Amino acid sequence: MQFISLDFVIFFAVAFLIAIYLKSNRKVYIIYLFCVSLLFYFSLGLNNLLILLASVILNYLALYLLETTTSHRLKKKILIVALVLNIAFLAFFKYNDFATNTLMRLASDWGIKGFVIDFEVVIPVGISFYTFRVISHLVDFYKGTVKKPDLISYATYITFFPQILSGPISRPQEFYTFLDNPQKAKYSDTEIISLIISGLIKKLVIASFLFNYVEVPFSTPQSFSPLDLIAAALAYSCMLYTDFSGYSDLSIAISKMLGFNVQPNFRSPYKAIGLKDFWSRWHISLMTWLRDYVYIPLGGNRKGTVRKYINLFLTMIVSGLWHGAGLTFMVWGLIHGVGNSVSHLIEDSLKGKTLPKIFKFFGWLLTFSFVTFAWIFFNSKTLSSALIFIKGIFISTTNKNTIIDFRLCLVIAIVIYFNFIGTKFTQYFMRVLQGLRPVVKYIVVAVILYIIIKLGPSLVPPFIYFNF
Amino acid sequence: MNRKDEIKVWMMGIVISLIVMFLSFDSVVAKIDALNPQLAKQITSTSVYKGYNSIKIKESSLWNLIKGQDQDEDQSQNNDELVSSNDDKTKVLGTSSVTPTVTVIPTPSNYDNSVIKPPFKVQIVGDSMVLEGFGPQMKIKLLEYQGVTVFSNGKYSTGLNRIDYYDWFAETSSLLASNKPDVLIVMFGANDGQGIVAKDGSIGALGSAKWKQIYIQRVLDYLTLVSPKVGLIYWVGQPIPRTSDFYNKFLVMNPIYQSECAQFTNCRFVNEWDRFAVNGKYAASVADDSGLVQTVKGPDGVHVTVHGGNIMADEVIKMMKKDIQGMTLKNSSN
Repeated sequence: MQFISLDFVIFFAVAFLIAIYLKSNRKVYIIYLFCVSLLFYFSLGLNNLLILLASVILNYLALYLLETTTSHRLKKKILIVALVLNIAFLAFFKYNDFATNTLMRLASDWGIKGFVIDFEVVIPVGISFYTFRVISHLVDFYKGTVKKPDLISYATYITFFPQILSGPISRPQEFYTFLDNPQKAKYSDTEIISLIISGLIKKLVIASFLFNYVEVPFSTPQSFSPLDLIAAALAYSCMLYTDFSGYSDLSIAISKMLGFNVQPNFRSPYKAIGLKDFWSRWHISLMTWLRDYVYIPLGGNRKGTVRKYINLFLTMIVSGLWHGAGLTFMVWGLIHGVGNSVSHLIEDSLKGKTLPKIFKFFGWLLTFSFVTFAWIFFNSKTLSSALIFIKGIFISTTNKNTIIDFRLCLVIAIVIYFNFIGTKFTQYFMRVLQGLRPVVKYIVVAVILYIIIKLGPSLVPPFIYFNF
Repeated sequence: MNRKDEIKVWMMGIVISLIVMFLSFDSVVAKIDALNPQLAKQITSTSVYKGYNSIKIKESSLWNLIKGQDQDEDQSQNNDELVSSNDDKTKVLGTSSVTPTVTVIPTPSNYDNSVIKPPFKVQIVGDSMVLEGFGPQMKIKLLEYQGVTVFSNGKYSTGLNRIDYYDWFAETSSLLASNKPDVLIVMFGANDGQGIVAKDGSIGALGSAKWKQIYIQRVLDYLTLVSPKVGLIYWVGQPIPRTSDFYNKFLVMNPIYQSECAQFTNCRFVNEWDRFAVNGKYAASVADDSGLVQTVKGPDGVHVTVHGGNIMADEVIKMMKKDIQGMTLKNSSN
């Protein structure tokens, strides 16, 4: 059940109506949210649900052990074992394919014939996201920043359906604050409307349109001209942003309606100057998670300047590995690891200095180009196809442009432009909506939704981050 | 926000939804059709390309009443002409378990496939398999040969069943007219395992003899359409899938492709099922021609990986080499 489907609209309309009446009754509402989340996740397959429930129960057991153990050393050991098991659990599902293929390739290279691993594992949907929630809960409880909740509250946090598939990865303390509050988070209808419209435009109209320009050039880059490949890379850059931030907008809107305030997951990332700036704007919930649970435990900036850059580099490598198995993701993490460290280095050396505007412009251009270049590895099926893609940009095999056109250039320009004016535009739109009489507001929103549906494709491609 | 305001929001959602549904009435009807196959009787079998958002109701379309003419009927007539023009050559399908069908054996008129040699053009058409895994690897491998030009056109969630959603008859005709390929590589089926509506409006429920009868006719019509326009057709069969659902569907579809293809002198069926099966059973990892073993299927067990795509493409090229003389690799010294 995707967010953008009639099935989900009906499911959520019913779930929300019941939620309105149950929200203020904490106990009943928690059970209700848990049941709705299970129902939602069950729609993705029983196997997925059983694996999720096993993870919930085993990790709750780990919390119980942490709580009942008095020895600090033993507590630490329990935490380490629990973290290792969770990472192994995630790795088993995510890297099984990569590992078996690597082993079989090595066997082939070494002349070992007949070495076949006929073993297949299907990755449970959302496993990367809920495993990170589980880990943050374990660490936060160990540190004492969050109390051990009852089993149902814990299960509700892990399985919370608006966020289980692709985040945002909200933290336990933040979640329980709203779960335990009978009033829940406050929201306005115009805020929800603008988030839903923003999400739908980004996903249904823009990302779906750009999808047509991405799939083929990335799978067969050797048959496209340099200009086509540059256009495809830019299209993917814009598509990934609109797809994932569109999903996040919808997820945040749904979470808010159920009473949970969630911080924005994107803050106009393509207007960033420098990679440090970019990573503070892109997939914010993941990057803050990596900061708190990888970068800081590695030592952060507390162990000297060199260690700081090494830690930044390692954090980006972890980010690459989290996104997927395969050399392409490792290279992507590596590129960003180096880039991010260099970006911090430059920023540290320029601290306190005022730069002329032209420097800022080139800083922006360089950042956007760097990020787009790195996405080539992110979206390529194999390392060799990524290299063919990059080679094709510089060395022409054909000069006939087949995909680049005015519409594509216009949409790319709009996406980049809205990174600069998007926030102001949203505020203006919300002000206009607030000023309208209810009936007029309904009609305006309905017409906008109708136009979105008409502009959208007949078949919406799945959200990209569902794969992670 | 208090409960009263929240109910207002919920009500607003309902009202907005109703307005949107009213504005896009066709979408709602299409969705209802999808939920209730019996209502599908009302839909026309050929329509526009806007997917489930735009399947039209033939009897009730206000637009048709205003226009006074039914575009769908025009399309049906064209298809009828296609069959009737070959009425003099008919054959009974003896091996089929369904009611014997009178079909046509067309003769390729424009091409003599024995003269195809490099340089030549290849057109690949099909569903998501052409966009992921098989299609890209097929294109990459063909481009490694001297004098081969490749056009590849795929469309997600399409096939020969729901031509009301995406009309591959019209699309292929258009591609053949504009690209003028010598060779056509076709792969359909992954999305065809659903109820089917015949041209006369009759419905074949999935798994029924009627379904098989209509689908056989659909494949035959497609081949009848494309066969005279290209030198060679390679109909790529489905490789053995992981799940029983697709396994059972492809077990019905592959023999249809094979038997219908066999009726055309310029059509070759590429048996990928056996190539992917190990000891007759589904295998997660399969060796390519060089002996390298890698996983071949994606998470859904139907789509193939890059390695799987390479194996499939190799099978097609092996057959092409038998038909087309002088296919030489670009980096070959010969």
